[in-house]
Amino acid sequence: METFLKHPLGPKMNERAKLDDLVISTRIRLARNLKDTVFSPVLSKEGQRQLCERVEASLGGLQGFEYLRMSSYDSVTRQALVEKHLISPTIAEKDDSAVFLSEDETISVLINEEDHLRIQTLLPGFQVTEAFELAKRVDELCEESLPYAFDDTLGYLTTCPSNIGTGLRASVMLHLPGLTLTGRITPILKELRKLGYTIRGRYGEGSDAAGRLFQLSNQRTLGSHESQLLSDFIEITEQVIQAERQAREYVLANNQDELEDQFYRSYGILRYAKLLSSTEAIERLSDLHLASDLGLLSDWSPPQFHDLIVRMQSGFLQKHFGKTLSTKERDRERATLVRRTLDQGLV
Amino acid sequence: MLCERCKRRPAVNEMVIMEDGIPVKRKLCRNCAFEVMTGYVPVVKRCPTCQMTQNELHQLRKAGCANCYTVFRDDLIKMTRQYQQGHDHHVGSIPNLLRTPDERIEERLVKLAGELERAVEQEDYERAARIKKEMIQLKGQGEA
Repeated sequence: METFLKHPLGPKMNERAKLDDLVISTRIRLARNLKDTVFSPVLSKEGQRQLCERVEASLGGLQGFEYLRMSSYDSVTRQALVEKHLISPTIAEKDDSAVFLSEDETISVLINEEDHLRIQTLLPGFQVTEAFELAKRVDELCEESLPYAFDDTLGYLTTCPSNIGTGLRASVMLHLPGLTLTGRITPILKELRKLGYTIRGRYGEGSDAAGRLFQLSNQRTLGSHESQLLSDFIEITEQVIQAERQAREYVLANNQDELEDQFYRSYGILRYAKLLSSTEAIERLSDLHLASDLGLLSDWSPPQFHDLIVRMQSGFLQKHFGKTLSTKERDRERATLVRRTLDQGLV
Repeated sequence: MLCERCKRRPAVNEMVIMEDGIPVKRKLCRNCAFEVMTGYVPVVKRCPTCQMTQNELHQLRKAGCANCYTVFRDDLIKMTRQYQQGHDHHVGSIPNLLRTPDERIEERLVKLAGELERAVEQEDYERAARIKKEMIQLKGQGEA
């Protein structure tokens, strides 16, 4: 476990990838259930424990994976894993849940989520097909020893019919400052929802879009082949990326002074503030990231942005200092951390 | 005030009912009053595998087990259509165990077609040629 919490980004997430200036990461999730075990709403604690043991016995031999039982870790550790997107908030809240994590942190098999198994893959940048192929390989491996609940008409059966059929949810985390600054984001969000896509804050349901980071995902999981769902998703994401690029060009052409002013103000705050709340830090870092994309700032890379936004989350901060910190202490440590990073790497 | 019998709906009248052979005054809702007066007992539809009732299914909007999809098929298909923009048929991949060899070939072909498209886009013609060759071989097997 300690290795997973040493660095905010896994070895793979630290690599540069396609379109990683705009697409922070790509995630694929497959929802699967076993046909001989009742689903999560009625599964007893004992049943949940048995399911963990059963999956552990089936997948335990996998090379390069580590099996982590949530009951062995405190809430701060679990929170840090959520901040890294390696586990879901649902899993973090349940003692009788577990996860198989690959050493390179690209694959998580979550046990006792809303569905018995949630196979999740996480890659940097825009890599939808690659992430899906990885997930499918894990799915085929699980399928060899675990009897999936499958219906000829409805496909893979899930606890909630919103995930039924393919059980496939693709999502990308997008940095959309251009669309946000020009106000074009509102009609785009509306349009995306109309087309059947979900767009929300960074940590999923109910979270806001701090730092102009948005998570875009497909809503429908039934009625199309996986390859079709994915190619539609890729196409829609590319359209959003295109709109973002145009919005940036527009801002740069028409409001360069205001934009530069905003960067330098943000830079000043990040460089000299003594206390930084996570919301403020992420908004300011988003400015810096945009400045770098527009060529106004050197020595700044997308993985660095991603690293910092994970590193400064409260779970990760507390894990780093090995103790519980009050809100004020966290704001102080966050400011120190950001200051140090800027000292080391920037002009 | 809630009905003292079902504890869910608002109470509308007070009635004397028998509880364990003893007459007691109770405030009841319209449904319970009707059931008490006519002696009608509603049939509760329940999944024999996970014991989930039809009511619970509608409240949770979630299935209790794989068998719920058989027991409450109409309800769950209706919910599925609501969530899935009207769709109610799976056309995606199926578990290996349930697949015929032909279906496996078909799926591999779909996958290769996607890869071929990407290889051409990236102008990697060597890889495209290899993929094309594999597709021709697979098609031969399918027809045989």
